[in-house]
Amino acid sequence: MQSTLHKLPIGGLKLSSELVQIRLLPNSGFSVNEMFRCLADHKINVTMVSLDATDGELTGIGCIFAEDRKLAEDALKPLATAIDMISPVCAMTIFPHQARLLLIGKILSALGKDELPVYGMASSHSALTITTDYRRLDDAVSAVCRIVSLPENHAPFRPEFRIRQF
Amino acid sequence: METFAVYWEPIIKTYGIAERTGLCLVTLDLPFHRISDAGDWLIRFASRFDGSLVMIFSRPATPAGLKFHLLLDKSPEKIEPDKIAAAEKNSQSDQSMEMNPAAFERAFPVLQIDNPVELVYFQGPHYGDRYGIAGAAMRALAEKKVPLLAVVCTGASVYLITPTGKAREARKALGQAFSTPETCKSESET
Repeated sequence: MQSTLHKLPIGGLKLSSELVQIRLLPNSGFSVNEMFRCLADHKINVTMVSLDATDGELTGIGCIFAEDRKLAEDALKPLATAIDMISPVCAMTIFPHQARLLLIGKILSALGKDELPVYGMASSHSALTITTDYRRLDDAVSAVCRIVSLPENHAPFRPEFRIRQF
Repeated sequence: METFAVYWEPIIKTYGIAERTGLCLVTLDLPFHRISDAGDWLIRFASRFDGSLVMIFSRPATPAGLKFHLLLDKSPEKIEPDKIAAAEKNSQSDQSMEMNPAAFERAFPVLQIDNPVELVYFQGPHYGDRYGIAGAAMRALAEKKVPLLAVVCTGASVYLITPTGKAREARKALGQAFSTPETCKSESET
């Protein structure tokens, strides 16, 4: 076990509620614009997005809240053959990462060594979000906490409230 | 555990739209069973790379792995040879995965380096809790035929990676579709 002395300090760790990760399959014949339009028309918030055009056109993932799944399945019926869904998923957000490749490398290494899945990643200037298996969330937190130190007055891991737009 | 809020605005607000140019996008195909190897490689990479990470993102790729992207502020190829030599001298790790692109390719099945690329990004109020933001950004660029290499949204931030020379067009297109502090100011002055 790594001592606190060798742990990398971070400001906090935040966990999402249960999510569903939607993936638009490459070369499906549908565009991400169509997918996002269908979701927005049904007022479904996509909490994390990671898309790239490596396969020629933009393709990738977006996460929605688990309670929106049924609504999303209805909304995405026209694209049914073009998407797949992974669930249950959780987004684990580590902040701030301060562009530390060492920190990110150690987190990935720890998750990989514990055979925890990484379904997707997205960073901002301050935070790194990793999606993993919701059922193995405690294991993922343990893996990350082996290498990071949290402030003593760390806020709750899980959000205490959520805002929904109408 | 939910707070309901009514939030509506005629044009989506941003806190301002920024851009960066001269960046390098490194893409790897990473099998799921090699996540740990990728982490170890990043640790070695961190000790030798004298640039900065701008972003990291990934998504599942067939058959069983991740498409893994690093957006860097300089190309790994541009690292000074003496700095590599010094880092290698200090490194305790094996030398099988060096920093140059050929070594990347030996380590992981597919490699692509897009260099240079550009980044346009913005934040806005409660973006993480609101629907339609990413779609609106991509629609604005599609209407102006601005190509995109990648889109990443997390929290209240939206990041759009474009080929070189396209960030300014992207920023202009977004500035027309979204409200910025500059457009708010000019509207209040008229």
